[in-house]
Amino acid sequence: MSTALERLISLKILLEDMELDLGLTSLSSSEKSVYLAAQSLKSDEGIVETKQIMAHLFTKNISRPTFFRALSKIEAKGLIRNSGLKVMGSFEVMDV
Amino acid sequence: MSSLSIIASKEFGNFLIVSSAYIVCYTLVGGLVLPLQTVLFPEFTKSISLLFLPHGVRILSAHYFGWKSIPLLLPASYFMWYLSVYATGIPIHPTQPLISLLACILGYKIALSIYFIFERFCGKQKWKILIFGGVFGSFLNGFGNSFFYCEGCALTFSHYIETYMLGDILGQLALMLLLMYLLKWIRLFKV
Repeated sequence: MSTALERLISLKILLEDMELDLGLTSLSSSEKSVYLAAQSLKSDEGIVETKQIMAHLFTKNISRPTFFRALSKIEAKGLIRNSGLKVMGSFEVMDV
Repeated sequence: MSSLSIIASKEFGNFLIVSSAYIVCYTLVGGLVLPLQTVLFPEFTKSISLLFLPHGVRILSAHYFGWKSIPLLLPASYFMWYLSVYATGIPIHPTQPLISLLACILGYKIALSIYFIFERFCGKQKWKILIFGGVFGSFLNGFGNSFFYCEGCALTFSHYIETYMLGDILGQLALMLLLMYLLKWIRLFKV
């Protein structure tokens, strides 16, 4: 990846953090549930697995398609990202 | 292509990006913000903008390019200083662009060096570090530039620091909000 693109992505994450903090964007209720579940379950290193989030009280009543849609949306918003420990199903939870 | 020419082309690309951003922001200030300020606050000095967007460009450059941001931004800073300050007879010292760039990078470095204090309140969010860096940079900018305004008058001295800080901080926040919505707007048109 080019350095310019990396900088653009980093700028986008930075601005989306700011947007979230200033309350200029809102998460849907399923996105909030998934994110809050991930926050509450993360390890000391900030890592959480999809299976753990799915079993959480906040997300138990969310259907699978909605859960995965919400998961990919909060990933796109920079709230979680692939931990790099596994190809899929392991995320690093970002602070807000 | 040799590694030296690759580096040179990358640096030239960076130079074009930051210079364009600086010139666009400065033009917006001169063409829109200052005329509005003159209408809304006619008693306020015309040599300092209440919404100085280029401060945000300086801080973002300091964040992404470190000390390199000084040579990258210096030509655009002096170009705009010549057009908007020197050519219009506004009494701002010729070293002002250099002082402002140095102040911004020092301010950002100060914020970064005490990051561990902020981290307890801010988490991993870099935008807050940028804002703190902008505040420190703006203070140093106002402090440095006020020496050239102040002629033994302590009241003028503090007044200029406050005015610089207000314009710089509001300008940085406005630029970051503008970028936020610009990136959203670009996303709407992606293929």
